[in-house]
Order: sequence, then structure tokens, then C-alpha cells
Amino acid sequence: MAGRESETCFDHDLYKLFPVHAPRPEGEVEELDRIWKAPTGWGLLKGINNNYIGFFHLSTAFLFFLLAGILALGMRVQLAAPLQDFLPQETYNQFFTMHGTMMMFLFAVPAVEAAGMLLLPQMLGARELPFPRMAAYGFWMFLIGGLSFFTSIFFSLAPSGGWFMYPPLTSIAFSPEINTDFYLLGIGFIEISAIAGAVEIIVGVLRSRAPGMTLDRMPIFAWAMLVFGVMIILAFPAIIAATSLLELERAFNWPFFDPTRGGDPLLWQHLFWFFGHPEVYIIFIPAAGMMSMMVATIARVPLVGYRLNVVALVATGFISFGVWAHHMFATGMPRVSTGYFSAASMAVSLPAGIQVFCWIATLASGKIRWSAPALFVTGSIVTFTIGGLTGVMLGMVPFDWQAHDTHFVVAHLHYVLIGGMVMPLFGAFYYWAGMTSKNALSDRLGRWVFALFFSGVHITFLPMHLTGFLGMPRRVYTYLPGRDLDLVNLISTIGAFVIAAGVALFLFDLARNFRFTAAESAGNVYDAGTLEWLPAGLYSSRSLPLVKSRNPLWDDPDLAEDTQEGRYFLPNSATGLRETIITSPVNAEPQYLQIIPGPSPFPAAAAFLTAAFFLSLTVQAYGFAVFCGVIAVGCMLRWMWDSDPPVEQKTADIGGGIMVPIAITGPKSHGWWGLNVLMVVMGMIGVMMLFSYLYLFGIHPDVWIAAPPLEQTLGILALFGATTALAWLSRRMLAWRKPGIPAGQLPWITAALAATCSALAVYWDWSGWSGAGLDPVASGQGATVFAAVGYQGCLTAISALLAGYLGFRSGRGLISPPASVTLDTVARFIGYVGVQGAVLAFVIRLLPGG
Amino acid sequence: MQDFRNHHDFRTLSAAFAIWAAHFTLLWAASITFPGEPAARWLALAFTVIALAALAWLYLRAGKPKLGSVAGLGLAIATVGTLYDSVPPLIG
Repeated sequence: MAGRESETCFDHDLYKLFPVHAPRPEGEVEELDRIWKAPTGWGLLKGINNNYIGFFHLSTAFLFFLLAGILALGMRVQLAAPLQDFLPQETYNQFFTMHGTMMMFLFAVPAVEAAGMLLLPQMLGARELPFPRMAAYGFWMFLIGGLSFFTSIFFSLAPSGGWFMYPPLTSIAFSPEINTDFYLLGIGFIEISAIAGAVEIIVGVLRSRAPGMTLDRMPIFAWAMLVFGVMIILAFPAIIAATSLLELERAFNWPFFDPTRGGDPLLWQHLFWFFGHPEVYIIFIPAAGMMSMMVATIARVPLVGYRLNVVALVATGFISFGVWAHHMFATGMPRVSTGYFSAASMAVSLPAGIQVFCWIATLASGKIRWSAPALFVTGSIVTFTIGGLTGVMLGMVPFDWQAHDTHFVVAHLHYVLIGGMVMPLFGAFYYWAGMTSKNALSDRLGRWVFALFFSGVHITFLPMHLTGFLGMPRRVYTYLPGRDLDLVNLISTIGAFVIAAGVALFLFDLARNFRFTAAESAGNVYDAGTLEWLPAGLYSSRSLPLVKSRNPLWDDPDLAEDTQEGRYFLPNSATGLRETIITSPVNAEPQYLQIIPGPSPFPAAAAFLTAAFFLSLTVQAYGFAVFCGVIAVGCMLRWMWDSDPPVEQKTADIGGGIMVPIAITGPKSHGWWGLNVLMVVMGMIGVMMLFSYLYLFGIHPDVWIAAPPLEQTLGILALFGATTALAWLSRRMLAWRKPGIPAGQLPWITAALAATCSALAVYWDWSGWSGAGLDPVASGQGATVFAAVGYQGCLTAISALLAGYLGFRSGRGLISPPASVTLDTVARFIGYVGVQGAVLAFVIRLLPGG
Repeated sequence: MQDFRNHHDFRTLSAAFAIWAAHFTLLWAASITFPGEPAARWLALAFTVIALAALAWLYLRAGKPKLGSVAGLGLAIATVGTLYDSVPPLIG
């Protein structure tokens, strides 16, 4: 095949060189061991290897599952009989709020994200995902933030407004204590952690697959994680915006949700559920990916309808963003609007149905081995289907009006989440334990775990449909006797303890059999066909295979030995450093060698200080918050300092004599892709700010005042335009210089000028609105305008900081022509800030009210 | 020689759902901007015609893919979703 037919001009004939049968030099494996060795003891705080970070992340998420489960048991004891006094009303409120919040934010999303980080590098045939330090930062944030959030319950400081925290109940008038702030700021940790993981996963899946692993050969779990990552970067900005606005309202009395001053409580519901319903699919889609991997192995046949499954995952990802307001049917939305969300709620069942039928067809076309994962998989299909059907019922507006806020909804959501995520995860624990443990988990105990868990789920939640129909509202701590609720509630409580018995047995199995290891694992117990089961160390497999099919281990029996003997790509360390091959996004053709940073204490330090920053804000220790914030930023910059090291060696042999460049810049580089993903996050926050502004205008146009004069707006747009132009110019200035000649100071000074232009524009924007008489405390318009300008101000401050950092690196001679990763990143960030500022200013000043 | 090129049209798949998403967003925006007014219905009809035309254009551009293909199934689900979304304004 000629090179011109490929995606990157890579000649596919070169693949014929593999496997290379020439003997490898001695000592290569030992060198890989040395380079990838993880710190031990306290040194683990510096660890960034995905095997460790992924495992810690997953373990921490499971710990929160156990803690949230204990809270659920407390609630079920309270509801076991009428007029119980096991939990006082306020404590019960805190229990159900913490249970929901922890299960959704501290268990479900982090667990599937951690599973991705743990499994993906080996499954994709990469040494490591591209941003391991960011993954470490995300984990430490999650651990510290999650534990701080949970401990609030011991001081009666836990939030009590339900996991979706509707104002006005959560506004300062009705929740004056700091309990709500713990939620609003506690969730901040999880948002940062989830987005950090999503960037890592998206870029990892698209750019670090083994050569030959085209999109059509990607394991279905990788597809699921790709859709998951994209959904996170689109959905999480909505909750970032929502929690920020509510915190601003509580702290500074800006009336986003106060209808008496031009706000609207339903704005919160729109923002929250634009995140909240896709969140359900964010949880479900990776679990569906796990299911698809497991059913193929269980039935010993390739997944039936692989491509249909991919289409279904993508379709679910899209359509799930059109269902958010079905949680708001009872709020009196216009009738046609409810119809749209009802229609989308029905439509999303199409792709979910495709997946379920693919699984059933796979199981039916093979010979099932009834192992523990097989039981969890089939149990999941049954449970999820029941939950899906009640979901279709709730998608019908008249039915939803009847069942809204009753235990019927509680039953539905638990069937969906347990069937769609928890059961697949337990199956996955049994299925993949052999990859990270010296011993596999006991299949015999696993069947008992399944029996207890499955029966417990149905004993608990099936009767809740009935209690819901009988009119029992959710989130009420007791009920009266003699209303036919006593027996069904008692049955549900018994079921909850049966679930707990199943989980306890699982813990016993873990304690007895699970022994964490990164190198001497039990191996491929269930005889799966994908790459994560290649013999591996901390560097993943010794050489990175050429992928020719979707189940390479089934199709090439020699693959494990060939990779182990170094007969494929990168059989050694080509640079003496941590490295992986970056491949093209569609056909996975080798493009360049990425140098991966090693262990560092700064991600953990930055996470600790970021946590201290948020917690200090919660208890209103503003001075200490600033102190922690400044040091946290310093730690981040210090960790970035190592991420763009000067490398003398320009090319490397990645096996078979194939030479590729090292550490490139520009659109082909993984850093470019990472920043693009981050720009989507920033842009979505901006979109949410604009949505809030336009939505409140639609509700209260009467309180809107006219925008400042047009000349001022044009001046602001010109300044933002100059920001982007100067940022672009700073990159060109470096590119125009000859290689080998020092870059000089002009590039970073130009970037700093760009940031200055943005700062001037923000100042002018803010003072212009103030001069026009707009007050953030007086109206919803003022609150949303100043929130948007404030957001732009934050990005501008980061731009200025990065420009200073660039200057510091330049002063140390670390910026050299013709291109620099650091300059590329900083200039593109500042350029983006200019574009976003112009869009925000244009829409807010020239559209409604302008 | 093994073929190491991807032959499946994931771009058409994503574009089809992007059209569905744009159609949904515009219909909803019209419905809350003009609640209970005929304008919402007429705008919905116009947006639906445009969305269906865009999907048809994608179908032709992708070389009339079969229903069982990545692009074909994506176009089919997006079209069903678009048509489904157009029902509420028609029945009022």
C-alpha cells in the first residue's frame, strides 16, 4: 500500500516488518523496569503510574460506595415501620442528600473513570496515557475533597437539600448555615477531578492506541470511554456554572434564582439537569462498554453488532442531552416544550435497546460459561431493562405528573443505576481482578455475592413501585400507620440488608484473595481476547503490538510471546526516559514519540492546596484561601516546568528501523489536543453563562436596562481582537527565528501584551456596565452580566499568569525556535480567551437589552 | 496484506446527530420564546424541513450508505429522532 493512501503518509508496508525476529540486546527489560519503577512508601505521594493511580482511584470510589450504602441502610431502618425515631428529621435529610450526592459524584463517575485509567493503557497497547500527572492531580483532589465532604456529616454540617439542591430551599434565606456551601464547594473537587480525567481519556483513546488499532478495531470499552469523556466535557460545565452561580448568590446576594429581583429558581433546574440527566448516561455508557467486553468473553464469540454498538453509544451520548427537562414536567413548562423532552426521552431508548439486543444476541450465539461475571451481566440486563421500561413510563408527561417525587421514581432510578452501572461494575471486578491481583477472586463466592445482591435489589426496589403508587413521597422521613405502607416498607428494608450481605461477602472475598500487584498478576482467567491481557509490567507490555483485529489474542496465538520477546514496537526505551508512541486518531499510524514525565510530588501538593483553598472558602477564611490558592498555583507551574524538557535527541527508532520524531508541537501533538478539549470545557461554561443571561431575559424582560453605548462595545471587541492577534503573533515570532538562535524576549512579551489587552477589555466591560447603572445585587440581569464578565476576568488572570510563566522560561533559555510546546500552549490559551471574551461581550451587549 | 485503514464513516454518524441536536435545541428555544403562539409551530415546521434536508444531503454525500452501516444507522436514528421531535408542535 502506498503511503499516500494512509492518514499521515505513513507507509503501511512497514507493518510487514513485524514481528521482528532478530534477537534483542540483553538488559532492555531491566532498563524498562528501572525507568517505570513506581515510588514506594511515602513516595507513593509522588506516584503517577496509571496502574497505581487507577487502582487507588477505583478503591477510593468503592470506599465511598460503602459509606453511602451505610447511609442507605440507616434510611431503610428509619422507614422499616411507621413513625420510627431512629433518625431525626434533619439527620434523615442529611442522610438522603449525602447518599445521593456520594453515590452520583463520589462513587459512580469516579469509579468508571478510574476503571478507564486502570484498563485503557494496556487495552489500547500504550505504555501510559498522555497526561499521567494530571490524572494523579485528579485522584488526589478526589480523595481529599471526597473525604472532607463526607466528614461534614459527623459535625451535622452535611447538606440537606437533596442531591439536586433546588433553590429557593438552598438559598441563604432558607438554608443560612454552611451545609449547602459544603455541597457547592465539595462538588467543585469532583468537577475538577472528572474533567482532568476526561481530558486524559479523550486524548489517550484518540492518540495513544497501538499501531494498527484503527477506530474500527478499538475495544468497545475504549469507544465507551471516548463517548464518556466527551459527555463529561459537555455536561460538567453546566454544573460548574450552576454551583458557581448559587454560591455567588449565597455569598454576595446576587439574585440569579430570586424571582423578586429578576432571577428564576427554574434556571437552576435547567442548568442542573442539563448536567444531571446526561450524568446518568455518563455512568451507564462506560458500564455498557464493560458489559460488551464481558459478554464476548463469556460467550466466547466476538461481540455481535460491534458497529451497531458503537453507533448506539454515540447516539446515546447525543440524545441524552435532549432529555434534561423531563425532570421538570411538574414545573408548568409550556406544553409543547414538555412534548420535546418527552419525545427525546422515548428516542433515547432506541440506542439503549440496540445495545441490549446486541448483548442478548452475543450470549445466544455462543456457549455461555456461567461464571460470576456472566451472572452479573445477565442480572444487569434484566434489571436495567426493567428500569428502562419504567423510565419510558415516566417519560410520558401525564404519568410523570402522577408519580413525580414518589417512591416510584426512587425505584426507577435505582433499577437503572444498579442495573446499568453497579452490577456491571461488580461483574467487572471479578472479570478484571486477575489483571491487578496476584490471585483471581473466588468464582464460587462471586456467585453467592451475585445471588444475594440480585435478590436484595429486587426485594428492596420492586415494592417501592407499589409504595410510590400508594402515594408515599420520597425524601419524607416517616409515614403514618394504617395506610397499607407498613409491610411493603418492611420488605424493602429487609431487601436492603440482603444487598448489604452480598456486599459484605464481596469484601470477604477481596480480603481473602485480592493482593494488589502491577507485575505478577493472576492473568487471563476468563480467556479474553483483548490486549490488556498481554503479559505486562509497569511499562505495560514489553513491546507494543501491531493490532490486526478486534480480539488480537484470539486471532494470533503467538502475540503474547512476540510482544514479550520485544518483536513489536518500542521494545526498549528509545530515549532512556518514560515514553509512548503517539498515533494518528483514525488509523493509528505511528506519528511521534511522546516523552512522559516521571513521578513528582507537585500534583499531590497542588491537589492538597486546592482542596484547602475550597475548604477555606467554605468556612469563609478568605485570607487563608488566597494563601492556599497562590501556593497551589505555584505547585502547578512547578509541575508544568518538567513537562516540556529540552530534548537533544530529535528522532528515535521505535522498532524495525522505523524512525519517528520526538516531542513535536502543533496540531499533531497530544498537547494541542489536550488544550482543545480544555477549550471546549471553558467554552461550555461560557455558553451556560450566556444561556443564564438569555433565559432570565425571557422570564423578566421588564427589569432589563439598556446596554452601554455602542462605541464602548466596539472598543471592547477591538481589545479582545487584539488579544487574539497578539497571541497568534507571539507564536509566529518564534517560528520566524532561525533554529539554533536564542528566541529572545519578544515572543513572551507579545504574549504578555495580549493578556494585557484582555485585562483592559474586561476592566472596560465591567466599568462600562457599572457606569450604565447595572448593579449585580439589584437584578438578574446585573447578576448574570457581572458573573459572565467575572468569568472572563478569571480566564484573563490565568492568561497573565501563564504569560509570566512563559517569560520566566524564556529568561532561562528554555524557549527555542522554531517552536516550543510551552509557547504554543500559552499563546493558544490567550488567543482563545480573546475569542471567548469577544463572543460574550457581543451577545450580552448587542442582543436582548442591548 | 492486512488492511490498516478505517473504512467506516464516523464523521457522517457524528454530523447526523449534530443535526438532530441543533434541530432539538432550536425547536425548544422557539417553544419557550413563543409559548402557546403559532410562531413556535411554524418555526418548528421550518426547522424540521431544514433538518431533514440537511440529513438527506448528508445521506447523498456519504454515498447512500446501507442501513446496517455506521453512517446509515446513524442517519436513520437521527432522522427518526428528528421526526419524533417534530410531533409535539404538530399535535399542539
